[in-house]
Amino acid sequence: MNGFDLFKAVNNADMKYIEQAESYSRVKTRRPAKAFRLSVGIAAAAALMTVTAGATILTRFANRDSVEKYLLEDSVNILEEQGLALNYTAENEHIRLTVDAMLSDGNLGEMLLTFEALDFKGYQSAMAWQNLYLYLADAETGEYIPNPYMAGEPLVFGSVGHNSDARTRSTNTCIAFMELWNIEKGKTYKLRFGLADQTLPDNERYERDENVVLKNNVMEGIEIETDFTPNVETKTLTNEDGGRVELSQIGFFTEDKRLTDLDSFKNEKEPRLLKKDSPFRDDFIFGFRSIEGEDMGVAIPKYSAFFNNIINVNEYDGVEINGVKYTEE
Amino acid sequence: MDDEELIGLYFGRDEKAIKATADKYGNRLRSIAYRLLLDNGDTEECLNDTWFKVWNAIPPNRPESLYAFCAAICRRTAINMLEKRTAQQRSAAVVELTAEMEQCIPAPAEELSPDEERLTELVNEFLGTLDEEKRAVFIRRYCFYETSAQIAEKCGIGESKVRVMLFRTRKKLKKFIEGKGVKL
Repeated sequence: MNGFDLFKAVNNADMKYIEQAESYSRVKTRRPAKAFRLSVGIAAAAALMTVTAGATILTRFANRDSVEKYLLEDSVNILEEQGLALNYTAENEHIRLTVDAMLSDGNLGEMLLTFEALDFKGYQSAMAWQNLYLYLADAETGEYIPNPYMAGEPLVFGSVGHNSDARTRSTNTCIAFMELWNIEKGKTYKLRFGLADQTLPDNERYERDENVVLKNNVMEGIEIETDFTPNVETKTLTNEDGGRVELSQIGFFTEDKRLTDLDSFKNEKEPRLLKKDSPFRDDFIFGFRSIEGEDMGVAIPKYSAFFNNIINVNEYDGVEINGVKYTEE
Repeated sequence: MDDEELIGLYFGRDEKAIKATADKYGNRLRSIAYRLLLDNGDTEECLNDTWFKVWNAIPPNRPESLYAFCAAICRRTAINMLEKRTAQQRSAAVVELTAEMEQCIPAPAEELSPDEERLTELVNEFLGTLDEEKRAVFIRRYCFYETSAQIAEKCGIGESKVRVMLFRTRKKLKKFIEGKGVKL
């Protein structure tokens, strides 16, 4: 071993230490942010709505151009054909929210959301598209459901992605991915939105505390009530050792420990590229997340992958993941 | 554009994310890469590789600090490039940092056979024993490649205190490795 070997090892130090070191100077040189701990209740559900999964309201996306920034044309067509172009709207004085699509397979969820500005405050927040948080709460008790992948972040639920091409003069569309395997099936939940007022100073605008975000929330009162009943096609595939993969039109979920790291995925007819091989949008796997270990509060490991587009599960009588074949029961 | 929004662009597979990241952090990362590589062409190559790797890594990663995340990838890329060079071809900064690291290696070094993964584990364990200030100073020196003066300014402490702190932390690391009694 020489100095260079040790130098390399230090440079592979845990990311949390690197992040702490990076922010350490900020702590020292900046004035500490004023702490806000106001307790503010959400106003009466002015715009409460109920989303009935699988309901057919319209067969065309009202914001189809923007939706196509996230899904290929074929995928958009599939959703419209299946009656999954929801176009549900709810609004307050600042923002009109359109739930373009709300997809669930029981384990994973995906939403396409469009924010339309109704006044200047709404315009600034919807256009800036910053600090949008989704809060999932038990509809009866109001208790927030923690994000299964982010211990200590009970308010942030799911991942929100944004493509600046999906923006028009007054609207902005984004996509949100959610892991739903830890929620109680058949129970009703409220999905609340937090979008900070962009005219606020930084220390309030970037604050994640639920009370602060909701106090300054331009989406106050806009809620979705849902039980996440599956509304996309699903299929259970098993291997000869009893390992199971829950395949759906939006991704797959498994507790099979052999899939800790996703290396390859294909169906026998059509091998698909994985995102890690190339960065382009029409690659097959968009993201893969795994969680395991008692220290994470998970006795049985969970692995989930989102597809980049909507697939037709009937084309999949079997898949091969990391070289292991899973076929229909 | 703040990190939250930038990461949102990556999650939305918006290629503007790369340009926006380069605009925001390009200069700082260029300085890290150049300090190690001391060559403009190699530095640009390192940065291009970094943007590509960051694009492929987010999602699924969602870093708390986008800069720290990019810097980690940039450093690893630069160090991989350095490994292909001979010791004589390495920059003065690398030679200096490497020489300082030599002081942390218990003698006789030739008997130690390095296992990269194990060594990284030990370093992480050691970093966990330090208080936040000492750890920040150590990482700023050996991962951000800052001089004592730069660290002193950023952390709001005296330059001589930084030098003493680094000296003591190196000694502590040497003791830690010895104390582990492991054949690396």
